[in-house]
Amino acid sequence: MSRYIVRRLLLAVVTLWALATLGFLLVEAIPGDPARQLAGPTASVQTVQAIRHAYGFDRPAWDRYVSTLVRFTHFDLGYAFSRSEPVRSVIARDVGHTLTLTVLAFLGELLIGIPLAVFVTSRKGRLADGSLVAAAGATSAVPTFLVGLLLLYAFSFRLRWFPLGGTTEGWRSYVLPVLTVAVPYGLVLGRILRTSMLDELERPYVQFALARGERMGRIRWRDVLPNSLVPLFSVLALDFAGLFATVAVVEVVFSIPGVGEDLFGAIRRLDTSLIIGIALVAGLVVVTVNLLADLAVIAIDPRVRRATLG
Amino acid sequence: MSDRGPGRTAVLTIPDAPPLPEGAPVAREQGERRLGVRIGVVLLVLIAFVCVAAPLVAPKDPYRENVAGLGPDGGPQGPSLEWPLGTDGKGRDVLSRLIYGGRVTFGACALAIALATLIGLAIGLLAASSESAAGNVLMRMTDIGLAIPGLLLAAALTSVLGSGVPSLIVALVAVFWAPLARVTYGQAVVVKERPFVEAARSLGAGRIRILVVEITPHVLPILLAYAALSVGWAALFESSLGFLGLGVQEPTSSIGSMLGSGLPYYRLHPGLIVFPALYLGMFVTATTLIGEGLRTPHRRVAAGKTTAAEMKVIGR
Repeated sequence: MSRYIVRRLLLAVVTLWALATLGFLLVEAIPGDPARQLAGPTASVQTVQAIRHAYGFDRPAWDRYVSTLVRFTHFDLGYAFSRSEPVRSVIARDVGHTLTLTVLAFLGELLIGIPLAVFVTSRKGRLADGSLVAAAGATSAVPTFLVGLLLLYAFSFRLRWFPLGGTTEGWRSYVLPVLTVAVPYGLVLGRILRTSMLDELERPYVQFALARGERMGRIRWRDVLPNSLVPLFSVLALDFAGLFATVAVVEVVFSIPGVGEDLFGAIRRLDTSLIIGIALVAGLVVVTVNLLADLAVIAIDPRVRRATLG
Repeated sequence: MSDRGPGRTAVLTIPDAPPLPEGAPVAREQGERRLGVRIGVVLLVLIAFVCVAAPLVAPKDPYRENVAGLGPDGGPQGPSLEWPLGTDGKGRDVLSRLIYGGRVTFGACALAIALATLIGLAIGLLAASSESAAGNVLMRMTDIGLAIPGLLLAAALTSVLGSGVPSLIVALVAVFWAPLARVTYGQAVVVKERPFVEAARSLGAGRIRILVVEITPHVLPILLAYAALSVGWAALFESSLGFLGLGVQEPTSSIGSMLGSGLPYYRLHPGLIVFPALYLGMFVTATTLIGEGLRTPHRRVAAGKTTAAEMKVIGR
């Protein structure tokens, strides 16, 4: 058990290291003089020299690479010139909104996807079944931010039920952004879970439970659902990662001051350290969630535990 | 190895199977799939025709900014006989821009996925066939690639590499090679244990020959199914990137850049968002129908991790 955890942790660390290296290489790849950019166009040559030395731009690349990695381990992600503050404080202030939205959207996804899958498997081949498959296909054929724009247009601009954006109106500000993400993801989850449950319903234990006199609805919820859900944990973890990225885009639509909006602003101003800082934080979230999901499956499912741990 | 000759296949041909009873679930599902693939192919051929024949099909010059195309308020115009899908904020014909934009978006996505598929195939096959640590390293690399949120990676890459089609293609390849390598690996690991691979080896076939001649044909069907799905997902990526102001930029028209530049007007002129979205939706539906249809159950040897890889790509 501990050997597996150590190996898994190692992979997580290596992933983060690869991300950080990628970030470093991307910054290196930017044409232009970073010292001149920091100093501004009117600064004297001496000032630029001083900045170049102070930030270590005159040191060899490998030296800067090592010190960048060391900086990253201290969560020092550099300076966001477009915001005139360190990247760390921008992210620390705004990541809360993004994480809240992501978690709410994830819960929404489960609340939509799971009951839908259970309901639809009792009606295989009938209208409800086909509708789920079609609806999941339709919502995944357009980018999520368009779903957001559509909801915004209908419910905020036309009907005026919800605010047009921002987070000033309490829970009402969160309804549309969460639905925007939760509905498409919930439909897709429902569809995947449906396939998984239909396979599981063929198993002999379902016949046995029926023969013993259990009601089908109870078997579906109590036996078939957990058995079909656990193998999907790694899918759900990747889903969470996708959610985080999707939420970042949806924030732009709904003007929610999370890291997605920061990313949008950073792209407009070409603030590379902020862009890479946000990508690194997203990577950290994704790696952590994947790790937790893999460990959770091992904790929950004895079959996987035996297969993985020998 | 004469078993690949045309003469042999004739011997192996199985006579027509007796028809399954009416309404048998398997038959019906397969029928639906086949219908889906057919619809997808028709849609795709239509779109491909519009893309290839863009100069002939487009009624106007997509780059020409017309004063006559602006409304009385100096903004876009709604659809009319003169401008079938209306005009954009600079008085350009939306229909023509859409026709040319589809060319850029769908062409770039198809090219990027073709490259990503080749890279994924090579890495997946090498990782599956190598018994040494090298294969392991390749697969760990793929796992790392899968763990990076695709849209953010693409956003970081395109913002550093600058706007334009080449940087978009690089970003898409960087996102999509990993899941495709995963799919290849998952198949190849199973296929390489089959007796015919053993037979080829005992007949003296080398490692490369086994990979290319024996294993690849068994990997391709499922890999191409995922490649088809990925082309659609890549188009979704392009639209998200364009919306964020990345990738292909004005004045070049692409689905993403049209969505991005239409955003300020969408309350009064929803068409600027809706029409590109519909065209994109048509394309993604076509690739999805084809991809899903090709991914029939009997063709997938290994499940499990593949689904996870597939979900990773959906995280748009």
